[in-house]
Amino acid sequence: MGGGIAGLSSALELSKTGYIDVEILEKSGFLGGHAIQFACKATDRCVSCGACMVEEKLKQAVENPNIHIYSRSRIQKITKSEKFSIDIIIKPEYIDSKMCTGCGVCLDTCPFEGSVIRGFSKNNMPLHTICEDSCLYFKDKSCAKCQELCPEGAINLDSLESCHTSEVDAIIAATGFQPYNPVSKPYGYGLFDNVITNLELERTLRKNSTAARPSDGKAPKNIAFIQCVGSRDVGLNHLWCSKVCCASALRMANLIKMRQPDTKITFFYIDVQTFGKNFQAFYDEIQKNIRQIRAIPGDIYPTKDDRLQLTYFDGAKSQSVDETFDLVVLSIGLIPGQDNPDLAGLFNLEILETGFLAPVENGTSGICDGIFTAGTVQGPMSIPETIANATDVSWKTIKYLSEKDIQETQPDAQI
Amino acid sequence: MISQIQKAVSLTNRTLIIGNSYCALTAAKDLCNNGIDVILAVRNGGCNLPMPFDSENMGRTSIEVLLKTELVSCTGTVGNFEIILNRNGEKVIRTTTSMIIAEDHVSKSNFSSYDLKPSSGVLSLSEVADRLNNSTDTKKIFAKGGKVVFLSGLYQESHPVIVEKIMQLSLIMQSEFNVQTYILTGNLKVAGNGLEALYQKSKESGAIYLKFTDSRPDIRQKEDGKTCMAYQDEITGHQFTLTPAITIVDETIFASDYLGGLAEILRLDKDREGFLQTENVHRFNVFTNRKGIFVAGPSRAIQSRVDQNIDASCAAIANLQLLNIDNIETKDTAEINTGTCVRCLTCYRICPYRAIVIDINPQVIRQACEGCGICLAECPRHAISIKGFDKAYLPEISSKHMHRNKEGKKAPYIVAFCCSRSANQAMELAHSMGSKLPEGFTSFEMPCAGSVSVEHILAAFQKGADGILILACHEGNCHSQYGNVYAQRRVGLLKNTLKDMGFEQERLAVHTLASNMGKEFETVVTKFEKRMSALGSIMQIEQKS
Ligand SMILES: Cc1cc2nc3c(=O)[nH]c(=O)nc-3n(C[C@H](O)[C@H](O)[C@H](O)COP(=O)(O)OP(=O)(O)OC[C@H]3O[C@@H](n4cnc5c(N)ncnc54)[C@H](O)[C@@H]3O)c2cc1C
Ligand code: SF4
Ligand code: SF4
Ligand code: SF4
Ligand code: SF4
Ligand code: SF4
Repeated sequence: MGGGIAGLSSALELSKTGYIDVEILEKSGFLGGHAIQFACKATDRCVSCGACMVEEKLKQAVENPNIHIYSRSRIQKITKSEKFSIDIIIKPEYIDSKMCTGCGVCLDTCPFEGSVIRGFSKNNMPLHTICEDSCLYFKDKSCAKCQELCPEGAINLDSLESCHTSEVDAIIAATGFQPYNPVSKPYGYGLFDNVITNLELERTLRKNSTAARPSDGKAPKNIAFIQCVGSRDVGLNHLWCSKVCCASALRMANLIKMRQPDTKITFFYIDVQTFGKNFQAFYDEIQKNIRQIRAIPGDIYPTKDDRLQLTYFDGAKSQSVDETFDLVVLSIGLIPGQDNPDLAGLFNLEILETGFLAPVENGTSGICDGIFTAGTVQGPMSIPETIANATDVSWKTIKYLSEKDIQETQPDAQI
Repeated sequence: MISQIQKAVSLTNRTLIIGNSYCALTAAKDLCNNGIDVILAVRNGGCNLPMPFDSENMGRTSIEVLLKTELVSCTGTVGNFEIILNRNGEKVIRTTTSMIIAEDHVSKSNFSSYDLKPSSGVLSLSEVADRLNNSTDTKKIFAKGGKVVFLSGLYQESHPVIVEKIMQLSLIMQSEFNVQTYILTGNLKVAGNGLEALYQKSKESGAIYLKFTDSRPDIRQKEDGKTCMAYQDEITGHQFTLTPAITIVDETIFASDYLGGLAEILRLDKDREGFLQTENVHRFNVFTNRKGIFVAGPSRAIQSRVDQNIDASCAAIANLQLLNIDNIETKDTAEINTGTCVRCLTCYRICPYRAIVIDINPQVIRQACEGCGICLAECPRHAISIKGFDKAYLPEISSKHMHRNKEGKKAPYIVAFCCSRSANQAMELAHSMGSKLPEGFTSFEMPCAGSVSVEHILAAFQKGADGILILACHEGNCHSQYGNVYAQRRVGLLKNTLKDMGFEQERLAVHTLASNMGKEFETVVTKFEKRMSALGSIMQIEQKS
């Protein structure tokens, strides 16, 4: 369950044994989860951010004949006898993936923004997805432009939902995290155009390769990164470090500095976390290019010239300081996924104090045997950590399956 | 399914695990329990960990533990490594399918970075941890009560593995011994599982965290060996002094020096810190540059116990996957024509996957070859070929080009050699994003940028290319580790030749891209085309000269 990097990695590891078939049930229209949206942050050298590995694994997974993918699917019913029997409902794709060439005519012709959404990876077919919530056809049938204009005739807005029943021996819940929504923080997110999240910056860099201010599209001259938004926050009872946002912010800052060298960048932080190998060298280098201030700004105000004023405590001067920026990036953290409580209930999995789901050691801790968790559904992890975690879970799944097999084929055998 | 495992198991038999770490032991037990024979070779007398299973027979499979045993040599390849070990002076020979290296890392105390000498008042982190486990000893340490100071990451960035130890010790001291602890730290490394919660808990128990950003405490060691510290509070600006009964100095974790020797024997790539895995993301999780040799746990990076457990599983599953022949076979592998080969051994030296062995003549081991084509591009005698790669390639350039020229197009003719894993993917992404690439642009998918030979480049120029781009992976991201470096080097040399021939050097360029850089692909190609437009057709120059 879940086609993020955790789900993809588990699927690949299991299928590489050559004798395990895998089905991926993905809720959204796209595989790769959050990480497929990220930009490459290499300057002259790769900084091992792991983003391109998601692309590679996605490609391998869609090309693998033993991995069956059901996008836009949701579970309707699960029963367990010898095997799990999972009834899923698959929302229609509307765009026929065999006919679609990914030309993007649908996106260009759609009059209503947000109705046709383009995926991030070319390996995800169809590349576009139609969102029923905003599309006019589903509202009042007042528009069917994309269907009329698609040169391949690949769009059928009247496609119906379909059902599928999977018979499986084990389930891996790899439903990921959700990014913290910073609207309740005093940083004016949602109020001011030029306050964005790190996730939005990742997407912009992937799409346009440079940073721009949402309000006027101009290159920002002065950017502030604010760390630990929604993580390490006693007030929210979020007693965890999200592990990835220091790395993500500093790598993006470094990249912007290389591509737009006139940009001034300030990094507001509590503690800089170690990431990757040879961190000391990276950190020494980055301190030359990026101003670091160990303080978390309190407030933000828009100025008359469409800039943003931050107030923070300057330790060196022992006083409060006001400073204006063109763009403010909030490093939002990883928080437990929306579906965690439901999953915990459905599978009787242990839910941790933090709201993440506990790892499952041997697949026999729930009421139902054979259910595992993998990836950031367990807590914050970077891409490499997620891959390692998912691989570990795959190995546990294999052990579970072979033990189950021994029990079934030789009931008296000693294990 | 079990029948499939058993069938597969009968194909393979044995894995050699080298190392003394928790990870090595976990992997040994796990593989053994799951049908794979294990030889565990531990260099020193034994590790600090319990070793319950010397030569024990675990059901269908067995485990052989060799103590005081070092690797001497290793020949052969995945599926069939011939191994010679030295067990306390005695030569031991074994054959194994695969190998896992999981030697523990070593910690060294940072006394010198704080300018302190160990004394009864200045202790190392490990020493305190050991003594806390021994109850009579603990009483001795804390008899006089007083303050305890931890020094952490003030001059070198620390690591969550060390910080976790500090926070746990502080918590025990605070809650069980009623000792006031101070943690003097730079960046507090809480990016580990549960560490922020542990931090909050230790603060609640009364531990005082003093964080230093631009300033550092002034630490002096007195004659009695104890320390005296003066510092300024970063928020209030007030001066304070501390005279702790005990000062505990943090540690830095290093790769074991054994790894250097192993790297040499096994011809493995190392990172800058001596671990047996480069930062290359293609090596996630436990892969090295050699098929069938895995590196796990503290031999590939600094790892906690939890990480080591995970790595043991990763190594185990990678081992199991070797039983699936599809994971071993490469479709198109290199072949050496012994007739033309002059045994210069270039290929032996440079093959990044160590797939070439010397057996009178150099030979390619099919199972280990990844078909990267680097040897082919470097061989001075053109003695190496890969099926479906070199022979068909050069004519293709000409036919594509001729076609363009007959049309008499003015657009510069640009040839790009794209690495299949990065740039070629980026090009496809650019197409799918609706990018328009220049008219006279042609690309060729290459297994690796390192396989673009001088001949490829010259042939493309000969057929009238106005500009040639070699699009490689970013440094450190090449699947073949050095393919992009070879490409850069070759282009560097050729540029001089171009200059001597009267052509502009800019007509040949290398750029690096990742598979997810669709937009940047478009930018690089468009910019290059503009430049070539400005330079004009290469034909004119040829005619002039
Ligand atoms: C701003 C930001 C920047 C980051 N930068 C980096 C970085 O540079 N380097 C790095 O290593 N890591 C980075 N990370 C972390 C990285 O995003 C995660 O490690 C990774 O995405 C985790 O993958 P996952 O598969 O566990 O979860 P996700 O990516 O969340 O994927 C979960 C998938 O499951 C699907 N799903 C959810 N619920 C259900 C359900 N009920 N049924 C079916 N499917 C479901 C979702 O649609 C999604 O596709 C960053 C994170 C953030 C927020
Ligand atoms: S995406 Fe990340 S890992 Fe891949 S090449 Fe770029 S910096 Fe390196
Ligand atoms: S039917 Fe109209 S509104 Fe709906 S997706 Fe197509 S073009 Fe957009
Ligand atoms: S990784 Fe950095 S920004 Fe993110 S929660 Fe941890 S300390 Fe804060
Ligand atoms: S590089 Fe060429 S000539 Fe030299 S040993 Fe290898 S095959 Fe022979
Ligand atoms: S093609 Fe690559 S992997 Fe194969 S022998 Fe040549 S250099 Fe080695």
